[in-house]
Amino acid sequence: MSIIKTFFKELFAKPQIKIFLLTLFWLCVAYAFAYVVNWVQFARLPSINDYVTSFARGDTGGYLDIAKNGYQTVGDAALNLVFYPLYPIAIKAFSFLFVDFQLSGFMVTIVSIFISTQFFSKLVKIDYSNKVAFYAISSMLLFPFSIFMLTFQTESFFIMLSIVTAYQARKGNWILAGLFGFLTALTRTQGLLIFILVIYELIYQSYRSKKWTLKGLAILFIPMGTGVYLIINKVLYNNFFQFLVFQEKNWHQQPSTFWASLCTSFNYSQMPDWHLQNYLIFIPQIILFFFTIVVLLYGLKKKVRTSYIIYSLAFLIYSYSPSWLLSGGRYLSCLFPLFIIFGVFAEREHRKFALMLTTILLFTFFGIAYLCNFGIW
Amino acid sequence: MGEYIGYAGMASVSILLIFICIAILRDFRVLKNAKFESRSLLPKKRENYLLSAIFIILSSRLIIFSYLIMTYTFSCKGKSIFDLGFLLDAFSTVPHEQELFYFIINNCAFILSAILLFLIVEKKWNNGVALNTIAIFCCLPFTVLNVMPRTNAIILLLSILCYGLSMRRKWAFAVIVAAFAVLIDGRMLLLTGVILNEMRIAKINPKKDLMPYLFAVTPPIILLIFCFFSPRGNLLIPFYQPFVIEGNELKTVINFIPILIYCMSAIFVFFFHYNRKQNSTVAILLIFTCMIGVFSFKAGPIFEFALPLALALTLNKWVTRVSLVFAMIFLAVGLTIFMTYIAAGRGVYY
Repeated sequence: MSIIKTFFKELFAKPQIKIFLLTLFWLCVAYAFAYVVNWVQFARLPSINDYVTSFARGDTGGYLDIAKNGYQTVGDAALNLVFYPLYPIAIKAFSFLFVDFQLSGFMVTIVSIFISTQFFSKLVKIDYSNKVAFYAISSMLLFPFSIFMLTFQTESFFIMLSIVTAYQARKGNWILAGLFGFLTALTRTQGLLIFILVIYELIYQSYRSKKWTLKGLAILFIPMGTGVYLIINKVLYNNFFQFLVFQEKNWHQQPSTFWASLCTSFNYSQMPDWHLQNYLIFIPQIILFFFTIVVLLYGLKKKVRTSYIIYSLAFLIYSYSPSWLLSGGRYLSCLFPLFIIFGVFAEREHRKFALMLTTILLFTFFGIAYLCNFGIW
Repeated sequence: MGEYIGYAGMASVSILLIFICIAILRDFRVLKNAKFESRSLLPKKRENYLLSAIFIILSSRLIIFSYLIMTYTFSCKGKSIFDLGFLLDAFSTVPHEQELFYFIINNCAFILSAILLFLIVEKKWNNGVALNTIAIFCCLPFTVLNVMPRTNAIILLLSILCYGLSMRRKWAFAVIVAAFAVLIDGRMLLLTGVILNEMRIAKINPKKDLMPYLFAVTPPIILLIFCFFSPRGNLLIPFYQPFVIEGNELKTVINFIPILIYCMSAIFVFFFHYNRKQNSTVAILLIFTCMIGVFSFKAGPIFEFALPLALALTLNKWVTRVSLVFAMIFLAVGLTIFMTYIAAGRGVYY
């Protein structure tokens, strides 16, 4: 009980009004921007249904279906097993209050964004100034693929949980870190990787303070999140890795290597049949891979916390490992250490302008592509 | 072109990994020693030496992996470049599904042996010698062969362990390790010689204390029992080298030149150490290695830690650095030749 009290105390004790207003402003502008895009696309004022549908692309249907009906074992709905359960559970919980599932999805997303920006600010301020925190949050919200944070997909929920886990780990609250890490691992497959960050922090902090606490064992909750998901697979299909079977069957996804994915992405980008996707998926995700490496190297140079860099590298390699990678950019929009490094980079005046201008332009470009259903996943 | 993007991805991740290793060292070094003294590349504290050694070991493995994949890929036109299974096929005769398992075991064994070697040398000599030994050890091109699914890495680990235990005068344990090693490779019988020399250095008088000498007989007995019960019933099986009989290996320059280089270095170092009682085991190990190299025409030495240790002990700081540079060039050239030969199906014998 005291742990939960601590969490809420931290959340509400010093509400950062500036960050709150920034987030609110961004949400208003982003949703208004989406409305305008719809207006232009349909050449009329879009109905509520059109507007909501423009956010319901890709995997959103799967999550909403799980929230409504749970995991199914028959029909096409059985394929929803590939989606992790926590986000649909959150939508279901909100649906008791808001009734409509799509509205609940929106509310989960919005609440997640508010919490994540609050905690992200606190997390960055542990090491850096208010200015860096402000630019880190701005770059997170304006990242080219941040449009996914506005939809009913796991992005905003996942980034919230991973930031809270990292924050608790930095503060040495191992029980809370374990608990939120568990939830992170139950939200997405990459959630398990937060374990790397937390365990590095545990070793580093314990070594530094020369105090090894038994509470540190609580971080073992994190792998259990993935364990729960595997048990769901086992219970429903008597196979711990049934989701891999479905991924291969329906999405042609197999575990592969990041270099093979890069190679495949490049080869597809040369195909004339995939003209549009070249500029929206394949070429951006290749560029983004190398860009992330450069950013992480810059982060190391600037002495950004090593645990963040290790986590980022693991996240990058893991995210680029599917054999048929289509969502490299979307995955990286959840990599919060990247935004901390952006914040550090933007500390100087001229750099701030360049960074913000680039991210706003790219956010607009990919946002329009997503909302107009140009095939960006 | 897509392949080169893949290469670039691998290379960039490798570079990042190396810098992450440095950052980890920095994280844990800061606690002991806020700054490197007098901007020297070498740290002063004991822990820092150990961490540096671990960094050298891991980064050398990383470089070797990247290099292996790249060289092999360039040598094999028309093959899928990212097919790790195919790459492993080139190294081994073991069933395909076991290859990755061997791969992991061998690399873990190599890393453990390098750390163990550091600790042993540090205990007997000093930090500087230990770090230099590790640096040269990791740069020798023969180390690449420890990646493959063969017994070399395990033998290396056992021989270093045996050497360390005998140096600490744990005769019984040393003999047990030697006996295990003999069961893996008959040539490990030479470890008995190492143990006996250490007993000589420790001035154990057989008339007063016979037990250690009796222990030392165990490896030969184990080998005899093994040979006696072996299905082929041939006492010389452990020394039997079919390719020597075929007489093809001299045609393969790659098998001859490393032995030549090794023997020349070993003879040079041997004379330096021969009259120093403390280092005589190192000299003996070198001679054993040369004997094995010459008689079996194998490219890599079996006690491959002996030459780096001897070099590190022999040379002063300046010469050690120069030799390290040469070792690195040797590594690059050696790796290229090895891999080209393996890819061409010519075979490298170890």
